[in-house]
Amino acid sequence: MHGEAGGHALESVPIFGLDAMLLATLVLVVTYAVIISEKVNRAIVALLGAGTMIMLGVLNQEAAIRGIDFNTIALLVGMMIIVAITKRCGVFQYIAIRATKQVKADPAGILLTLQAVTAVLSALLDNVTTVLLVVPVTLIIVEELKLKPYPFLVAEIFASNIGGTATLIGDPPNILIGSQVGLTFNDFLINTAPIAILVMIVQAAIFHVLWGRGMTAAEEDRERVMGFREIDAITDWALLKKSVAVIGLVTIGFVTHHALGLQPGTIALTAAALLMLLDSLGRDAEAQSEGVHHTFGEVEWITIFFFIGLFVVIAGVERSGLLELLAHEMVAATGGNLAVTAITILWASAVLSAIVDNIPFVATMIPLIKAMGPTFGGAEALEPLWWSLSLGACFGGNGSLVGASANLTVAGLAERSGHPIRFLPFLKLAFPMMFVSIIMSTVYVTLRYLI
Amino acid sequence: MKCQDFMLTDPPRLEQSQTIEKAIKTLIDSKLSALPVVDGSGRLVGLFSARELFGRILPAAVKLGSLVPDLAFMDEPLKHTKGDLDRISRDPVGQHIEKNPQVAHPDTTMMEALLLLYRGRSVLPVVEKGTNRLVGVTWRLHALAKIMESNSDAR
Repeated sequence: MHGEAGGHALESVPIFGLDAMLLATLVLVVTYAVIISEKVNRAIVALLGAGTMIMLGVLNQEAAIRGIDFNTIALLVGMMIIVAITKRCGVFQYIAIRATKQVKADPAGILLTLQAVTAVLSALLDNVTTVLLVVPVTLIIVEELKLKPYPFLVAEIFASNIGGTATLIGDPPNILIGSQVGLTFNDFLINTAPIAILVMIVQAAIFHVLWGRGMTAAEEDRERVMGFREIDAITDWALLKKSVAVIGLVTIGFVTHHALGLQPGTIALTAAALLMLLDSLGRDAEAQSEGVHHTFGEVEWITIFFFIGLFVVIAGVERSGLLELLAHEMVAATGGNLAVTAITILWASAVLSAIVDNIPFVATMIPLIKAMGPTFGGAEALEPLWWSLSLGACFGGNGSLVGASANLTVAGLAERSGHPIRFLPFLKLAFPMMFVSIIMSTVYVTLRYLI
Repeated sequence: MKCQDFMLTDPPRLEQSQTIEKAIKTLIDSKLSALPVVDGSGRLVGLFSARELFGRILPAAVKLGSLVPDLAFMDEPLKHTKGDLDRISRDPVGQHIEKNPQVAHPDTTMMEALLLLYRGRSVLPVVEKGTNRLVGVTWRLHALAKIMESNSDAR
């Protein structure tokens, strides 16, 4: 049994007469190719890739398990459970209707407020969850006003990805970066939130000029929407209080996790257990099991097992020494210049994330960037690179309909309710919009970290 | 017990080219919650139902299932709701039907028919295998009445 840590290279150990690095590269390339082809569910592909890595002897099971970032897994599962319980009380419908009435059901105003609601929710929750909560009520409001849903849904896609960029927990790339690099919730608030807010304002302005200012709704239709009683959207007041209390605790926990010496995963999963406890109180054993069973059923296990498989595949690649080699190559290509490296990472992440799933890309880039540490004078010096990676990967998700899972989720909901969003028309708008956000990020990263 | 032994033969039906306005009248008079819709040669093309019409009135987003948990916050004046139906009153009924509804065949067992009525819609058309020609219909109360007419072995 090998006792060494996951990061050590195995360059000289041949397996079946083949170089470990070659084998690991092969498994990685095939795994990613099949994930990108979308012919097989990504969780299955990642788990098969992980199994293959271990069976080929690139790494043993102990090393594979050490490669799984349980902080990320716990954070994802914990937040999914909290949302699964909270959404039952109807508070998210309440918020969307309230925001609509705040602007007197004026279409241009609704376009703005619903983007803001989506962005804020998505900074606090995962993007897919956010759009699942916001899109249905948006469709109801927009239909009542006899407006086309397309601008609203598209604007919400963008807002969810931009909002997610702002926090550690908002988007899976940030969860990964935060967890594996040891950046805190507040680090993200201080570094990614300002540019996310700026990009959101610019986007809202563009959409207002493009769509919002040209929209009109009949007075009687607006009156009917003003007649919506948002208070009646709350289905369970007791649950609402419990959920708000627990979400408040989680937020305090995230802001102070570094000072408390706790990982975000611990906070999220413990809070999830607390909310399940509060939700179960006063119910008999059978009803409790049924409730907990149902809640666990709402965890997106595809995402969770995708992460688990991916972590093992990447641990294998890391152990084989391939990533270290790539890091050296990349540093050599950029002449060992931090600024050039940061901007390259930003743009490459954005373009690649627009085309393929950003999670495997970010998961691979993290150990690769870590390996650049010695070149740039230690882990501290790498900070601009992490923000470049985060901004590129998160904003890049806006570049096409397949750029982020939230985009595909909205497209699915739009299709089912009879207003499909097509790949090419979306791309024509999305790619330039992403371009704007990446140019803004380039300026931001340069001014803030590189000069 | 097979469907052919208890179904209502020569059942009430709608022609797919009839207007919605007329179809709604026939539906209400039939006291059934749904009526089979046939083409010119008597083949089943779908089911016209109160449920299908409610789907026209309700926001399209309710098709997203549990993502729209309830509509308690919406209260619409009746005339607006009626307006939703008036807008489609001249359309042929064939445009507003549930296509490919669950059907039974004459030799389908009663247990299977009851299962379909238990899990699915309240009205079950019976069609000839292969031709899809409508030959009968049964619905929840009809099937229940047939069951109650017989003598059980429990007494």
